[in-house]
Amino acid sequence: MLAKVKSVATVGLEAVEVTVEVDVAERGFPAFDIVGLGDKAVSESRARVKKAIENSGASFPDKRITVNLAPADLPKEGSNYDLPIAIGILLANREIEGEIEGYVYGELGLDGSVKRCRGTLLVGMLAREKKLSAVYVPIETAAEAAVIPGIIVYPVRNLTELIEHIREEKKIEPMKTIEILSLLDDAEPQVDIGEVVGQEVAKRAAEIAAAGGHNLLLVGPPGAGKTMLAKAFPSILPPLLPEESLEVTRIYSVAGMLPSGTALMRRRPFRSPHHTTSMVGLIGGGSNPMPGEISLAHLGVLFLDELPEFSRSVLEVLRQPMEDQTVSITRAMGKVQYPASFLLLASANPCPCGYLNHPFKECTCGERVINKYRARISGPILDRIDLHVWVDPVEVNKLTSTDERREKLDERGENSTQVRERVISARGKQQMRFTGIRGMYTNAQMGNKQVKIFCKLSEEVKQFLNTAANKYNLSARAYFKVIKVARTIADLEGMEEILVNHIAEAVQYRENVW
Amino acid sequence: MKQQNRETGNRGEAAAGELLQSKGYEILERNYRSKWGEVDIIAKFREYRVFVEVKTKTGDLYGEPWEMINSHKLSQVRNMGGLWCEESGWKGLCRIDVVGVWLNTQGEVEKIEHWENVQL
Repeated sequence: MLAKVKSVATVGLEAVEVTVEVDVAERGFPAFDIVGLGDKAVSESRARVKKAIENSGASFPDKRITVNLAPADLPKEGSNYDLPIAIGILLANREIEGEIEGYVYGELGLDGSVKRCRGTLLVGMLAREKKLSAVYVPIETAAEAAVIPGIIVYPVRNLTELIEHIREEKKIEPMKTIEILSLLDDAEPQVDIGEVVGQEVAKRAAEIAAAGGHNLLLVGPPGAGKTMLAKAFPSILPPLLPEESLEVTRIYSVAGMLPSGTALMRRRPFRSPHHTTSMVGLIGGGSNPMPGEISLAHLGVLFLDELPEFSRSVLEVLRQPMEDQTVSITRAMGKVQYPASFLLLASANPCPCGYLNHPFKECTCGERVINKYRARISGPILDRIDLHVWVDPVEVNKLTSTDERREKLDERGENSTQVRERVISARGKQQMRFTGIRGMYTNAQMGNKQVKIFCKLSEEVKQFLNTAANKYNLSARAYFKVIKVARTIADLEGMEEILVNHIAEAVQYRENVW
Repeated sequence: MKQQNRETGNRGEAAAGELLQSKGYEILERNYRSKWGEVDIIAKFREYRVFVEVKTKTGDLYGEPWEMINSHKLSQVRNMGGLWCEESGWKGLCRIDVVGVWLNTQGEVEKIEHWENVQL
């Protein structure tokens, strides 16, 4: 007899419906074949399914079993077909009578337990898109699917439970839909920006970067607080919007990086890959392409500490994704596109010894060494960074001052909450501005077309900008970037119009610090 | 020597036949052979036609009976099974079983075991 069970294949960030067709023939010698372009994990599923069925108190038929994963020309990979195959066999052999509507998704252990699977969120999303009522997913990752409204999520613990559910002996309790907004409450930031001593210019630049999603490069001597500022950066980032959260979660679900029981990414990702990271590690890849660091940092921050230490070729692969906010990876298995709209936060020392332009210390590097070091970050990469900031070493008296004295010296000394409030209100303005444009949340994401619409400049401002552009030799890209940064600065002040002082501040961050 | 092997085999097959019958198998044919191979016992059990390969051995030397079964032997039995189905017009379920028979040096059955649905 023939049985059909619906399941899902994930291709990159897309989900495709797969029909698991199982035929149990009443003739010939026993056999168990799976066709439909499955990889090793799929063909090994035979052993897991057989033992899981036997250890769940059902009997595995000594008959000729043929399993087809349709569409047959789409390559299938992973262990998530175990559960639908097992259910299909039991239905086809009439071991269980009944029907199962909706997607069945999960890996089986030899004892019949259902194990966690990557991409459970996508199963829920596809179910809603195809107007299917239910999904049967591993209990460990069921929370991912439960954020999708309008579908019933059955968390499956083991094969026996699902068999009893289909036989209507004992129904599985569906999971309650999880309200996205309730999850997006803020966790405690680890480092408060108030803990960074001094560095007002850098803090201001960080605020602008966070508000508008602009790339930021911090250059300064060792110990100035660059890394500390970067660590405090997440604490001033605005919370994820519900639709942003779904976008980010989708990537983490596909990468299998959502902690079990977690429904959503609650905070903006902050990725800080080590400088030995390879090209594939950064942009993604593999024979079955997986998202890399830049996609994992989507709508969040990619922090590259010690930027010049990254190998040049690795940095250059960032060029295209930084421009397009997406990366497409082509491999023999197929082509995959991952979103990669990230904020690049980079830090660097000005020279190998670190003390070039230091107010008190002598730099010991020769000119050739410095030039060689400088060449490690190419012009095209620098051009794509909106905010270039020099970070001076901290004055010693600021470090040793008591709290009272410090308050006097360091009047602004704001904590993250205060800064973050301004950032959130600026983001609110951008959200209003970009209503109806899909996937656009920040000023930095604007294309030239949007710049022309949303950043109207008065004649006076235009003239000022042109003079500055000539003086600093701004490229066409840098020119538009200055306007976008000025837009963010105006948003932070709550101004509709971009004024000369906004442009002036924005241009100041293009100053050559590298 | 060859004579002796035949003797051992016959004893084993007889013992296997008795065991199967006691389990409710109806023996349809023994030593079904063609120029491509041989099936020791063909039996009917529930909805199955069972093709039985009997492995008999004497003494402890040269390994256990199941070690004498390999994929080559199994596929031979399977092909012969297909041939038999063709000839007899059987269109239902088939299965391959193996019966292992241990004889002591006096030629008496020491132990007998039956493995159902053997697959390699």
